[in-house]
Amino acid sequence: MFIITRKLGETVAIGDQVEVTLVAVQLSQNQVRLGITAPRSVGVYRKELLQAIRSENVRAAAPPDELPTDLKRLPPPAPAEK
Amino acid sequence: MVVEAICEPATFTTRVETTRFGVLEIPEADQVTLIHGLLGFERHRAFCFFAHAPGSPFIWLQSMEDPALAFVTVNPFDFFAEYDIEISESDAAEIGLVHVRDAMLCTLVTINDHDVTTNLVGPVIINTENGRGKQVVLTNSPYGTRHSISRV
Repeated sequence: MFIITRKLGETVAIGDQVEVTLVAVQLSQNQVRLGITAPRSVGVYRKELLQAIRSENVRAAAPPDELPTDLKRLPPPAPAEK
Repeated sequence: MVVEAICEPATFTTRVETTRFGVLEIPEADQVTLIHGLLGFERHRAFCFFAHAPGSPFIWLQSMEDPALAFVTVNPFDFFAEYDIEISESDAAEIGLVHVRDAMLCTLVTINDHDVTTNLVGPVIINTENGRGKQVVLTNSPYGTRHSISRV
């Protein structure tokens, strides 16, 4: 893993076609904004979204053999946790 | 003496072994190649579709390589009429999709203890013209991985 120090407005080039620029720093929010330039063929995703889909796929991969034939008969969803 | 060739059947089917349903004969038209597999199941590319039961909204997405690997899917528009997604040019290009009418969309279903949910942020899109498909990741969409379909 590379760890590179960059100032606001500075860019990291990854290969010939990908650039990542530090466009804003919000210390109070504990976050930075990145601008990413990449070819359309390169997927750019927030990693937690990929992980959420991956773990949901794993959960979905073990369905019971008997599926609910009438969805309305199922108990209502549990209330969302706060 | 030349033996005449026997006429080929109109549709070719493939025998698919499954742990849930035994051996199935799947027509070529219902076989798909997920070019990158599914997230978490990247090595499984060959799948087939078949309906769960007449009148059921559920469609099985069964691995043709692993008899035990199968997913339940639905047509998301059956449950979320307002569902809309934008297919990126690169996703369309990867599966050779030119006409929207050739696209088939399904979303994976999770059977939970108390409800049934579907993943609207990672739909599977298939080009029915060539049987190529992929699970796309919708960026900047309002959708998540668990939308309840059990009270719809």
